[in-house]
Amino acid sequence: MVWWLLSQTYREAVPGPGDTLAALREIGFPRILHGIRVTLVNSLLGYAVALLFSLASITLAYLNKHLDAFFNALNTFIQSVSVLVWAIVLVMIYGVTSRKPPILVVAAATYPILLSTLYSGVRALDDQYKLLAKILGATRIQELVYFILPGIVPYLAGASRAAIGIALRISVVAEAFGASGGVGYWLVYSYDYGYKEGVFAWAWILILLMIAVDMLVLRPIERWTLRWKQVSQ
Amino acid sequence: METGEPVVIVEDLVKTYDGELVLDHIDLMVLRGESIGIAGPNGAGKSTLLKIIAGIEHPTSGRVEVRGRVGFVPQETLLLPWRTLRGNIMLAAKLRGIPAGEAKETVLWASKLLSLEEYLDKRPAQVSGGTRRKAQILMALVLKPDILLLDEPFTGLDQDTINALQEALLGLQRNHKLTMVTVSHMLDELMSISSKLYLLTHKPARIREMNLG
Ligand SMILES: Nc1ncnc2c1ncn2[C@@H]1O[C@H](COP(=O)(O)OP(=O)(O)O)[C@@H](O)[C@H]1O
Ligand SMILES: [Mg+2]
Repeated sequence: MVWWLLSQTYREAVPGPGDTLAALREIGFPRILHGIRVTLVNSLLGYAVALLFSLASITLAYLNKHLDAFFNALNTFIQSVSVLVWAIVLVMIYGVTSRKPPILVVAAATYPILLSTLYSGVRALDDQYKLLAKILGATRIQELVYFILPGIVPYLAGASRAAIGIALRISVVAEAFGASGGVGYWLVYSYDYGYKEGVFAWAWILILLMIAVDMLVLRPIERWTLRWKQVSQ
Repeated sequence: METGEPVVIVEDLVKTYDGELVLDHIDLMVLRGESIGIAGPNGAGKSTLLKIIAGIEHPTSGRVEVRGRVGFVPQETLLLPWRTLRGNIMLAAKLRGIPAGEAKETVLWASKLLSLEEYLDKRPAQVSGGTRRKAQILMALVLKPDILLLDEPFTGLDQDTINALQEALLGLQRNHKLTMVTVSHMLDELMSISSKLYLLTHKPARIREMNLG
């Protein structure tokens, strides 16, 4: 409804639903599928890199105070650099056709999210199980393996849901700076050629993709990791 | 090892937290096979005293000697929510270096004694507070303690559960030659399971034996 009203008001700039549907047909299913696949892979690989790094970071930080300070500083640094800067610098380094810039931009954007949630999770669990660890005479490594890492899973799932949502959004921005494909690339490509219906078509693809990923993947995962919190009595 | 010899000796124990005196020159002796109760108001220092005996907290000054292995049941139940009760108990045994076979044997008889068998494969969130408390006790028993320290084991339980748990604890103490030290802010909870009662006064806590005769 809103969309239809907008397209009636700004007839020049905003194509209506009918024109957009036609554009979708014109772009064609194979290209749409390919664009979605590139964006999904960029997002997930970038998220995976951030996940590995953040898990490694909290593990090392937990075992060593100096490394704790180091990762805090690193996190502050990464957080203070704009996504725009990452995208431009990485495209300059790897070239426009490389798949690495979007992946690494996504990693840089999601690492702070994962890290800060995992950090607060570790702190909460450490407080909660300090006494138990003492009673059982657990070493720091045993505490990490048996109390912290299993306990962190729900925190991780919650953070991942946010992180993957952001990964999709950031990935398309980074794709726009290169020429390695993906929904973001095609969006800007359509824009550069003044193909308004194409811009709207790709925008809708992006929105539907985000909703689908959240409902079909992220929510079920989160629910699964929280299963032991439910009270069944 | 005969009954009657001292297994917990506390002499002139002082504990301060940030300069604030909590335990004020405490003397206590527990003999092997005895079950003693220590009552006192909230904040008196009962948990602190038990933790010091368990070796979890350190005294500011004074002497604490414990002869034998200690099992400590904390005031708040501390079970890992992602493991079943059995999973928690077996992890405790593993971390303390108790062979799995021995631990399973303990789980077998002790879960029967505590009427815990049907809940062993449930997670903490799926059982009642009383069942969680019993699991916490089993988690201490699986370490094969000579001395069992219980911090407010009856708090928050209904009277039937309290009676059953007191019965089970008495059985443990008699049949397995356990030495028991139980603290509670409710004196009457300690009466039926203790052969000696002590009173911790309000902070800074001093201790005195109560006349049961
Ligand atoms: N870790 C701690 N740091 C500082 N003060 C503490 C700590 N543990 C206990 N206390 C203080 O010591 C006193 C005795 O506490 P506690 O032993 O828990 O009493 P009780 O178990 O008899 O209720 C309280 O005033 C409490 O605030
Ligand atoms: Mg207490």
